[in-house]
Amino acid sequence: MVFSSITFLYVFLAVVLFLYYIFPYRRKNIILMASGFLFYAWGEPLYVFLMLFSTLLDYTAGRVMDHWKENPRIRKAALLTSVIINLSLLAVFKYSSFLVDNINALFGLNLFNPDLPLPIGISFYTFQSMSYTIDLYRGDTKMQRNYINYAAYVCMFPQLVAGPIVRYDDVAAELEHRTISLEKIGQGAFLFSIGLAKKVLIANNIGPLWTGIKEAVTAGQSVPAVTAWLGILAFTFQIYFDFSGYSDMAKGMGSMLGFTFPDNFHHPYTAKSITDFWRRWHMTLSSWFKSYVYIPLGGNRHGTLKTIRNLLITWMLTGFWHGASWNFLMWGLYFGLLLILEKFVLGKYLEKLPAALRHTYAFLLVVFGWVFFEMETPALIGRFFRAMAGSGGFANTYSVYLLSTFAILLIICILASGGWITRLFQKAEARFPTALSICKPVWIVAVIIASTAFLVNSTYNPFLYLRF
Amino acid sequence: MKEKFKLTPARISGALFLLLVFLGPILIFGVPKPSFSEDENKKLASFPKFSAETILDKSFMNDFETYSADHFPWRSGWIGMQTRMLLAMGQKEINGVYILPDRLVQKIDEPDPKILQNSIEAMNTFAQRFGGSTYLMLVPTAAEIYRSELPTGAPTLMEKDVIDQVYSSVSQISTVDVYSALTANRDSNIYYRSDHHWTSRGAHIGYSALSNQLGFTAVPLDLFNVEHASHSFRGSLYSKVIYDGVEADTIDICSYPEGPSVTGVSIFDGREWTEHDGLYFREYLDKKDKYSVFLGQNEPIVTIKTDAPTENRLIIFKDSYSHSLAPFLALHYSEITLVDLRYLKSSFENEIDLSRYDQALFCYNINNFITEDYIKLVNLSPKS
Repeated sequence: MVFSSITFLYVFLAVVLFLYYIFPYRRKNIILMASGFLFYAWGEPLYVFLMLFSTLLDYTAGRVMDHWKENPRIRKAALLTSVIINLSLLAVFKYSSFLVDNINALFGLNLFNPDLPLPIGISFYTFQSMSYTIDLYRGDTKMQRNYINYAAYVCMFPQLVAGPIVRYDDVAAELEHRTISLEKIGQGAFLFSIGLAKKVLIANNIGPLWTGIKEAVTAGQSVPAVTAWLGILAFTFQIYFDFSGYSDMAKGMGSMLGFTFPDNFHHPYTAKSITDFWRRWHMTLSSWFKSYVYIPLGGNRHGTLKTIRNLLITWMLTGFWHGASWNFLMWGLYFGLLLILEKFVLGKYLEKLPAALRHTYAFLLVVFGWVFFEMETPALIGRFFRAMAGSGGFANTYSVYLLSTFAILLIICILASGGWITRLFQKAEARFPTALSICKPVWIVAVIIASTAFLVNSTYNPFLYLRF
Repeated sequence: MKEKFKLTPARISGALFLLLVFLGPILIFGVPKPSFSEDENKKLASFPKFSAETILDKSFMNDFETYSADHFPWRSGWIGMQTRMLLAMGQKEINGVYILPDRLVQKIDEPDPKILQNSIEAMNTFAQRFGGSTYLMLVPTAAEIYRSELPTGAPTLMEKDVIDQVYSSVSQISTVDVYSALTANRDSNIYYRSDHHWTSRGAHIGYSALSNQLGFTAVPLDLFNVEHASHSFRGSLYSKVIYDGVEADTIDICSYPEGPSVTGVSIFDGREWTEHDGLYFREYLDKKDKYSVFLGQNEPIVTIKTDAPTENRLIIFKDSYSHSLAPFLALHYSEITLVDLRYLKSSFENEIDLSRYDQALFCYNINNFITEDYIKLVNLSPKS
């Protein structure tokens, strides 16, 4: 069930919020856990047991670590069990068919490929769940005695299938004590409506522009440069508005439930370098890899060579996290290399450039990155870059049609992702605080009405994170 | 002491949000709705069956989502609003329909070459085994005739090329050019503005184009009595976008009292034959689907008998374009049988004797001709 659907908004969310609000505080986590399992089972009626198993495992590992506080060997064994089993789940359900395919191709073997369908959101919830056992082992957080509270954390529906990756420690206190108020519900509703607008009004409408062009290129048709650029720009905006829209909705619903989730996107397309971009894009994922991979590997404390090694490992894994396929690995490697380059070579020169050039530099490199992300084979990646360079001519009448059809939407995308709309809003809020605060409820109602119109008869409403 | 409750904008936001969301289940499940949407011309989903099986294969979930969207209150109003917003965003084609200032035009996609090949072979095979003469008329759609009015560069099939390609690949079949006449008459209201069919005027052009080859003398349009049967027709393209920014259409029924009259219409619905009184189903004039006034809805086989002073019999393999064409043709044949191969599972020859017919006509609009692979069913062998 995607957030942007009639069923979620007007049936699931309505019923869950209603029950959640009428039950007393000590029962609310049961509602959270049950609704989380139901939400997950709606998309994965079988794999929901996998999630149940994963939560039971990490909860038990936590209990064991806490019970044998004084015994480092048992503590370590519990941690390793949790991490190894979680990673094995990922390996089996997400990466096995990729590995088998490649081993078969490499050695000319014919090993059996189980070809298991990927459980939705497995990369999100296993990472969340692991953050608990690792933090507990390091002494960075406290043990959760109550399974319901723990399961409520892992299965909480707002962030279950598309992030943000909430670490246990982020919400540990709120799991036990939180306040729910109409004030917070209103703030959450505002955030939710921003996310809904990003997903339904922008991402879903710019997306078809890319889908059509991607299909044409994949089918081997030659595409002129203007069309290719329009297409990859459309994807650039689609993934940002879709993904950050999901995070906004999650954060908004978190607030309605009394939780504070971490920020996940901070105007990433206004970044001045690739380093800056990754501080603004899917922030909870990059900080997860930083805390649990890069720093444990030694980070940048052991000289240039080790730092480069650590960066490469971290970024290849980050890329691979996005899907079991070579192009995601390449995408991660691409950013790893760019980050190394910026850290050791480009950084000092970049700082001297005018801001406009730095923005352009970062934005273009990110756009090129999306080609790796979206085109599955090196041959297609090469073909697409050649099309962008003009191998299929400059433009044709269809490019003109696409441009005239999508111009308004593209301008809205540029203004919104460039942060101009936010800045305008903040300025207006500083000058006319009363008027702007009255606008908020009006905006919420307007977005919900407009989005409902798009959802009642939605023909294009993709869930982009199926491979994550 | 308790602080006095103040109605802040954030609290208003929260209350409004909850109100809107909480209304959902009540309006979806609490308010009874018809099972058919007239506006969209579509059957609304019924509540899914709940069982272990439907849960495991996720059909329950999928059907439940369709159900809640289908039963959302004021459904067609929301769709109309979506169309208006998409237009405001600069979109020119919505749900496969180009929205022009004065008409809706269906976008036609590229044909599947395999389907074209199958259909061509099927017609050639038929022409060989049929004792009489065989004709083919492919009718372009409004997208081809009004191509110059579409937005610059808007993709839609080059229908003329497909027609030429098919016409040059058939053998022992006389092909009928209706494209030129329709193009020449593009300004005289030959297609409905909100429906994918041709108007009675358009059908009359098709009838005139057929007359030369089929060998009868067409009665000119100005000799017909034209009855404006309805002025409020909003057709299939309207249903796709629920857009009332273009004028409603008029349905014209043309009659020629000096000519022969229809003596009987027999309809085979796939199981049994029934009789109908005349070519028109006027009850549809009060419904949404007003085009069905012409011969009703698509039925597998319809046979029209007339008192025309001739022995000539015609069989037409057709789609719904022929429904408004048939009243004109009925002036020149003692019997016309219309066969809709899309709705037949077994050979049409189980029901009718092909050797009784002198002429056979394949008459399709381009879109129906290229999108479904059913014309090959014309050569199914009859049950002995």
